Amino acid sequence: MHAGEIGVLIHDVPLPQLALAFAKISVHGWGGGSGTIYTMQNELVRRGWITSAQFGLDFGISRIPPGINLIALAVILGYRLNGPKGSVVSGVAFVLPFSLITLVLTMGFVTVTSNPIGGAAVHGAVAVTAALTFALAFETAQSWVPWQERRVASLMSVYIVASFVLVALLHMSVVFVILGGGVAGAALFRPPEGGPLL
Amino acid sequence: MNFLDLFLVFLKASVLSSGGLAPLPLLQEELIVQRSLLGSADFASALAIGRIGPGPNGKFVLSIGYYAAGIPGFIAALIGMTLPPFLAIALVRAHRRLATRPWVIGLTRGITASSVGLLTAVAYSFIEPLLGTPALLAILTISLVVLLITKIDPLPVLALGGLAGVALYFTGVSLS
Repeated sequence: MHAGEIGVLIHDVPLPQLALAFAKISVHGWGGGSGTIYTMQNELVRRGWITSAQFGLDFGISRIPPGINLIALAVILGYRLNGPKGSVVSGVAFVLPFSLITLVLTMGFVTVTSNPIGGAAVHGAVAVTAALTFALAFETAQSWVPWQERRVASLMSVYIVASFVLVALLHMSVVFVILGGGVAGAALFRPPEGGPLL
Repeated sequence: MNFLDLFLVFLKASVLSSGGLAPLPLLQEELIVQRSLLGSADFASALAIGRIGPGPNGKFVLSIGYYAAGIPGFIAALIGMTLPPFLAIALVRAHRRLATRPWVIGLTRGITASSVGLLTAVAYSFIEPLLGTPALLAILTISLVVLLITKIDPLPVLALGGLAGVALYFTGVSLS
């Protein structure tokens, strides 16, 4: 097996090196998901452990399982680089550093927001957060809805609006809306026979 | 709410979502609407923190855990957030067999469609308290336009939003 083949597992990266690399990625990937993805690819390709194509394949797979995709990506890459042990080491080494930094930031945030000026700053940041959430919803729709498949894109658009109305206005359970999306998707949002799959 | 119940809330939110902010609507429903463990302002602060530090955007659940129950809440969120992505191992093994099946692609698309609608619902819930404050609505609108057009990193936009809030405070504009 060698690193040049997409989908091939490499089981020879020592676990301490794997832990160090993912801990480094964890603390260096500032600026949200895209910053971390960039850092992860750069670090692993630079070390000669994977190719960009392999990273691309693993990134695609990491979008499928539940939970935070970037943690899944670290787990998948660790599995590629040292099997089941590698997946645990890379997953934990990736999660712990940014989690501890987040804890410290949260505790600091609580202190800052207890005074009027800090509170005013939070009000301003909350307005931006609302904008960020809207922007994320828009960008997710842009990148995930298969606009070239008109029938599916129309049906998905209807379900997007329905999800909003059911939760925001009718206060329906979020779980039912997500599960309903999965069932509706499996039945109605399939790609056409013989068409592009992804 | 005990540790196990809190952990199960975070685990459920993680299992039923895919992507950074996708667990948001479920956590909002469970922790704010049903249990009142934290307020909308704490929730929004957690989201902002999720955008500031290193790591994925989805780390905001850690801040929500802390706001909801201190260090034990943080730990419950950490474990609940970390476990589901390990299902990816099974997916790697099954990838060639299942990932290209039309019904799996359809299912993924369906969950994504619901996530988009739910994220919009969350954004709407943030806007409701701002409706009486035109200055904050202006910050929101300008930020949204800037984010969508420039694709700029959100960190400086958040910082500018915070500075605008402070400036409004010193000019005597009510923000509550």
